Amino acid sequence: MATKTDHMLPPTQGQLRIVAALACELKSLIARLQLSKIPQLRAFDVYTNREHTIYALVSGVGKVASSAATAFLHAFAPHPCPGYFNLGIAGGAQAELGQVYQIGKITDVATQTNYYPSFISKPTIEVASLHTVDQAQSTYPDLGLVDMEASGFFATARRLVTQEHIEVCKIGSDNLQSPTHRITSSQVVQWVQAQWPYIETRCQRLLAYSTEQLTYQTLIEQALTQVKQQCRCSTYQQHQLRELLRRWQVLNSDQPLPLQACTNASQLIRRLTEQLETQAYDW
Amino acid sequence: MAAIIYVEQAIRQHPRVRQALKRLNPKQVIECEHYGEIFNPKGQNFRQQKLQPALILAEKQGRKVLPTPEGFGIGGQQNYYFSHMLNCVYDCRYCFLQGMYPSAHWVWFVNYEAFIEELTQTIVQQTQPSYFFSGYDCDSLAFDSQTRFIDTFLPFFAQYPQALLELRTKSTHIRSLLKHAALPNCVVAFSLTPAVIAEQVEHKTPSVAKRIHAMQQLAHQGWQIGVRLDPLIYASNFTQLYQQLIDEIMHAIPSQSIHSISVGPLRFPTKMYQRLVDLYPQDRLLAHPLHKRDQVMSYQAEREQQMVDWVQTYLRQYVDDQLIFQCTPW
Repeated sequence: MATKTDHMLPPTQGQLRIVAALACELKSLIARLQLSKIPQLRAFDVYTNREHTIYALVSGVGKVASSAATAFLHAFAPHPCPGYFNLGIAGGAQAELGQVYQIGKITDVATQTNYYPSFISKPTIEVASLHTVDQAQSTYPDLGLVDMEASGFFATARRLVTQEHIEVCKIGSDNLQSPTHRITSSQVVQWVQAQWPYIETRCQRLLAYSTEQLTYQTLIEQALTQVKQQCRCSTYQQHQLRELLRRWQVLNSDQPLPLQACTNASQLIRRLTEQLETQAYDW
Repeated sequence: MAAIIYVEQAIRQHPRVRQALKRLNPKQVIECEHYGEIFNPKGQNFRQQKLQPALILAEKQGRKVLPTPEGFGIGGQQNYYFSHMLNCVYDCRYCFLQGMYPSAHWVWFVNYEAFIEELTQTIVQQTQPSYFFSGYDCDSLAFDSQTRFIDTFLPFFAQYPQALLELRTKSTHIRSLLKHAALPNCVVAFSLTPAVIAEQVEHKTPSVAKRIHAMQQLAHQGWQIGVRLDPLIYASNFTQLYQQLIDEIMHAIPSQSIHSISVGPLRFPTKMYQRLVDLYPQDRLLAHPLHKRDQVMSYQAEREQQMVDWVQTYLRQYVDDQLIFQCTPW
């Protein structure tokens, strides 16, 4: 289980947060990713792996629940740039049962708000539009899919990260010939299992992207920590140093910081500024 | 080409949209109500989108022909710009577009007729020659094989000799220009930096040598050529690099084909610079010694002036002083 102390440490790895409405939508994923349930959480059922790089949460049905779950994960497992993945089932007049769809447009039917998820890599499957409704319904729009969560999930996630960190995938569960009452949880588990190769690819890509975003940030913070171990820095000096260290890393990554020659932060700032101003700029 | 194409519902049946979709045959078309739904929201990562931009087909509403910022021009008193596209296929690290727009997706405004109507109104209202810049928010030529911008707008400007059109580009897709006779009131302006810098800063662009070759072909056919040394980028061997670049250009292009040369310092509005640093913290150009001066990040005044002065002085060996302009839009 992630402890409070874990959360205080600056992350060095990316993080992926998966939100699904139903336990059956996550069942095979939990097994595949070797996630364990975090005990004693009242608000939601949350699962994580040993490294705490992946969190999966069962939100319950509806966009409010999905939104709350997304915000809950943000507070529960702080991370500067996690990936968010919403997995679930969706119906549609033309939906193919068991088929996975990447969602390119989400319409909140109640508010008529549209959201357009970006893709960090080209989807290799059909990109579909999705209508998020507040109440279960037996009719379908002419085009696209229908669910009850995605707009709540997406609207909240996009407040927390840039939208390239967010993806929504839905699996066709019902259509005109096979209405909602025929859906069984074991069938959903099988569908998710069958679509695992695609789902896994998207999850891995989101996790990798989250890690990529961290790498440079971590490098600068490590350098700053090194400086702070040697001398006291005011908040303003830390801000100045971050920018100077960024430029230093780009231009002189092969050279050590001139820490030995400086007894305090002001001296170091002066020294770095001088050197960065006068050094050679070769292309 | 873009894997995803968004189309505004209202123009789904627009002939230019239908032709484009037929030509591009995209894997996915997603309808939207207004391009701003996709393009404008905050919280998009320009850098990530730039790796794989989508294309948005839209209708330009509101004003289509706008005055250029002060300091942007090549000698005219009346300067306007119009943009049939937003964003560029290239990825130049100094480009202001990456700090200006929240999205890196390409927006193509297909309602050329509305642009032409507003251009006509603007031109006929002027009592003196007016200058129109088409490469302000995009590269004028890079996407022309899809937009067919040249085929529509060159014949239009041919009717108004008092209006000068500047096509600004780094593209070598000049076939569409070469199939037209050279237009006396059109300047094809190429942006250039020394090859070694271009290779590291102007991503996805044709090489400087290829650009110069394209300029040469156009000049040979009678087109007027603009040279845009903008922005000037510092190097320890700055004079050597720029001397070599200027020599190469001037040896390739006859001086009578040169319409104008503009020289511009490297400058970023402060907020834009911060956005760029956030997007590209490891970029070499953004690690250069830039300082805040009047809400703008630039090289120190003395260094900047030395660079501009040296280039202008060196250019005077080849062209008259009145063909050399300084571009400082901020």
